[in-house]
Amino acid sequence: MHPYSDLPPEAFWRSGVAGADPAALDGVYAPKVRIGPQTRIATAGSCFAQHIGRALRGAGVTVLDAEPAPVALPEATARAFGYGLFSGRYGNIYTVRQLVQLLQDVQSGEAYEAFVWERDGRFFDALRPGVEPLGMESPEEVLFLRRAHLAALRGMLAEAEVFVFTLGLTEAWIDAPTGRVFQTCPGVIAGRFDPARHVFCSFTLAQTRADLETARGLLRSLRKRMRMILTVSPVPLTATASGGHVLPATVQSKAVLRVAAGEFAAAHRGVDYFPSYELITNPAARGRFFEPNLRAVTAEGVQMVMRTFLAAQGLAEARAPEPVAAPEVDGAEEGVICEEMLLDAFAR
Amino acid sequence: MTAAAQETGPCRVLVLGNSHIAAVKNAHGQSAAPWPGLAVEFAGGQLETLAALEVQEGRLIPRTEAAGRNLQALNQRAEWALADYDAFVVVGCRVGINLAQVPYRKARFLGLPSGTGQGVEPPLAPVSRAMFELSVREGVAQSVGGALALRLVAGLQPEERQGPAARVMVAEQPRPSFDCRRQPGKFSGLLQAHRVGDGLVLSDVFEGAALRALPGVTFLPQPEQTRHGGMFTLPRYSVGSVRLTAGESIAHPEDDFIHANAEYGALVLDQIAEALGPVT
Repeated sequence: MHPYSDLPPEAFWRSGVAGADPAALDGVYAPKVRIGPQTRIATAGSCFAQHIGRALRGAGVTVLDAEPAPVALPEATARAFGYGLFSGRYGNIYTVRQLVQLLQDVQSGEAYEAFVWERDGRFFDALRPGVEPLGMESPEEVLFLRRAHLAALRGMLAEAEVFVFTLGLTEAWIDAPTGRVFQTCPGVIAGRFDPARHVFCSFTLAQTRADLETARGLLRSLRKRMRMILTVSPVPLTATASGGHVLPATVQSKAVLRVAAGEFAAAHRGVDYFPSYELITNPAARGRFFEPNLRAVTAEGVQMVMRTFLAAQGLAEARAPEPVAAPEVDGAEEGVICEEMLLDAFAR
Repeated sequence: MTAAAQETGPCRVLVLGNSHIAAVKNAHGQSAAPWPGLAVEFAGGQLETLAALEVQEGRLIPRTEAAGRNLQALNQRAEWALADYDAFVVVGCRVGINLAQVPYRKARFLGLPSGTGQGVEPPLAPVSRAMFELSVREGVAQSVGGALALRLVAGLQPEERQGPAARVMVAEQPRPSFDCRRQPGKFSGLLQAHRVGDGLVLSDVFEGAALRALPGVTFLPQPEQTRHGGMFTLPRYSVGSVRLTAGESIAHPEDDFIHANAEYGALVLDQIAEALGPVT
């Protein structure tokens, strides 16, 4: 007898992966953080997280929304304005540092004049530049809406019992004097890139782990005993500014996020890790869960991931999520708003 | 007047609309002399009828039997060939200030004189002015009048007709008479916006949205001199309004505050004539 003698089939690569249906893996997720239809959930993260929030809503789970669209707009337009994507109108949160800084802003309620970008006479919130695609009338309007946004998030997070966060990237651009991380590189949506001020950063494993700890502390200061479910986006980088090839940069980034999330979840009873990344990139799928651009996740892939999650959580009987039409904006893909995709426009 | 019209005579205009075209029809019926460059015909119908009007093979036709009957009753005909006209003007049909009132019920933007609605119950959502206007724009495009105008533009693509393209215009539905304050319950939203000073800004937003909402369509806003504040019509342009009928003129009841009179209708005809160009 030895430790491998009595292991179940999923513990072996041949039976667990190579010989298994990649669309229906058994035992790949045993929830540590349980949710039910009444559990109040907040979602945030990179563009893949939009699928998760939508699927949870479709399954009848209580996904909080601090900022529902207040005026009549077609659904695609509302989504282009950042409504209904997550539990707040923060747009994609690609890095854990970005999440930490948002939560710090929620706590302080402060909006900063320094983070207003301009383009063609219109003004944008530098910390979520994509949520107002037409820009705003003035810097004052940007700050007014940011303060309202932070206040709305504070109320929502005080209600949330579980925070579902999808880690997307380690690469980011930082405003050197303030240490502030941007959602997108200055100059892509608005603002102007200043090489003396805007510094490239790829967060390390240690930094990501530390940021996760800080984020958890901040979340639990807003809501006692808030639990977390982490997942890693399987969506590769659109581009890397690391100076190297985008493939190893993607693997580096995802490896850091995967390890950070796994270690962090293992360290805390109220933190769970759900393997979205593994389910989509599973070699047995031979890439079938990726669109022909090898980046976007197919509808089948999203459904498989969410079916796995919901089944493990005992929510599988709920109705399937309704498909959402893709909005007619740059960066749109399968009904998902992804600012990072705008970098594709600069590909040569 | 279009180049073709200059060569061949007055500009042939089809004015379409719901009850609000009665003001224009009445003005024209009293005397067409002020507009020698316009040869105006009218196509009136109930709102549902106009929603069911569509362009097929160069003809404007009703999609339903009920719409056909309504058009026949009011106009003694139910079809119009697009090629017979140099311009189409959709009047009213819910392209009006109420479309700004819809998002105003739930949201506020920075720049409204009354403030941003913080601390009021029920809570009002803060939005950008751009998104507020976009919402109004959607309302204009989806209104019966806006949608009909867009169907006309689509139906007037060059392959559908010979010669220069016909113009499509939308004339704003007149704002309620300021006398509506005698019925505060029915017009409470507009009256409240007026009372707190937001009327002119909402009017600006509405007009900006209407100008951008309908590609290929010329928007004719309510004539400036007929307005009271941003939200209302001066009562003198409402008193004496008549119903849309096939024949005899029937006055609206005294407590009708949403229709305009022939004096107003004459100003709309002035706008149409001006938009089509000088008479030569």
